[in-house]
Amino acid sequence: MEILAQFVVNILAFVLLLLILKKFAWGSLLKLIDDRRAKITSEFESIERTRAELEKLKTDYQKHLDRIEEEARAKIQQAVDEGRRVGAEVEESARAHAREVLEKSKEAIALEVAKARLELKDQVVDLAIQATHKVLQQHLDEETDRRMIEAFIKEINAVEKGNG
Amino acid sequence: MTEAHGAVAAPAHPPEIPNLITLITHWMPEGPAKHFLHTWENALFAFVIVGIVGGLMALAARRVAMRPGRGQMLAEIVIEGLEELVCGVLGKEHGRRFLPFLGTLFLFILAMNLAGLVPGLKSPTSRFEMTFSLALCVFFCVQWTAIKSYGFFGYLYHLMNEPKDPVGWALAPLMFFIETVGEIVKPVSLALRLFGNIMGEDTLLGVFVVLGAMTFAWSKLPIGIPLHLPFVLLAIIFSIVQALVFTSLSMIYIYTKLPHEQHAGH
Repeated sequence: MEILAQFVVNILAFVLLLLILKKFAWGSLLKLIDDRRAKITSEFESIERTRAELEKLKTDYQKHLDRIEEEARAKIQQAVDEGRRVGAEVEESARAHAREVLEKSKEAIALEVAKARLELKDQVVDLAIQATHKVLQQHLDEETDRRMIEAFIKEINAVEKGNG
Repeated sequence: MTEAHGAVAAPAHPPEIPNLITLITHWMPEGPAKHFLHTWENALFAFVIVGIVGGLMALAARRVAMRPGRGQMLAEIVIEGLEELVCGVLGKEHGRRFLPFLGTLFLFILAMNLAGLVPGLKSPTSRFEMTFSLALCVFFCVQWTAIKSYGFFGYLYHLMNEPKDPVGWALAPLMFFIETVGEIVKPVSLALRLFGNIMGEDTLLGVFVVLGAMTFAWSKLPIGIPLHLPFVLLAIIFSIVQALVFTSLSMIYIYTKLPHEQHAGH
């Protein structure tokens, strides 16, 4: 009988501990552990979501950056082309202007040459007339004629040099 | 020490390290109080352990917070470990249902096993009354689970090895007897295993404490050598292993009584 009572008391001790632990350990603490697990899980999910959003933003940003770079490259290329075109135009214009100036200079030179020739012609005529006058006025001998003609030729040469 | 020495002198009882009650009763005059303490020594220590374990757990759970303190963290480690053990075998749903029972069983047995190593206390599990009481709890839990799973008559049918033909029905009484004996033997084996191991462990410690105390007995000085210390570590390991074995086997007995579709699920 005494041993039966001991069994009952021992079982009661176990049941008492079961009740105490059910209230504290298997109740509040286990619930807290579950809550913490749920919180950690939800936070991890939230982190995953944020990471995915960040990845998407990064991709968008990279695309945007690529587009901007592409546009910048296109604009630079356009500016370079424009510069080349303007340079070519300027060069062409300068060449045309130079050609025009050259042509005008050539024309002016030709005009001056023609003018000089006319002047030379007039002077030669005048000298010939003067020489003729002198020959007619001072016809002395053959030696004098020769000296006069040589002097005349020297004079003509001097005039030509002076015009040339 | 005198009690232990006396125990060695009287081999009818295994030697034990003296505890508070043996010391008190040693100086008490013969009477009903002394008899009561002697008789209910294990139960008293069991209630002391209930108070210690329950008190520690209540203290740990006094102010539960998401960011736990040291006590709460320790309690959570224990609870989570037990939850993983139980849910790992029984599955999440059944594991949660049986966790309070099996978890308490483990903590109670572990605390009682280790109590023998605390000066002044004693392992109540070193007595058959305690281990048999716990085994009875397991037995009722297992049978209740079986009746809930199969139904009362379904369980009887199951105990008859579920006969389906005349031969099976002819063998049904024999199978029923064998299965019933098997069901009874399970808790008995649980109780005997725990009792034998802890009693042996405490006896070993008691013997070496006595040997250590007797080393310098010739000098008449109150000194000795703690010869039992190397065995304390061994006793700690045995205490944990035995608590784990008792709980694990109880868990498996419960598992075998769960509905079959749940078995297939694991």
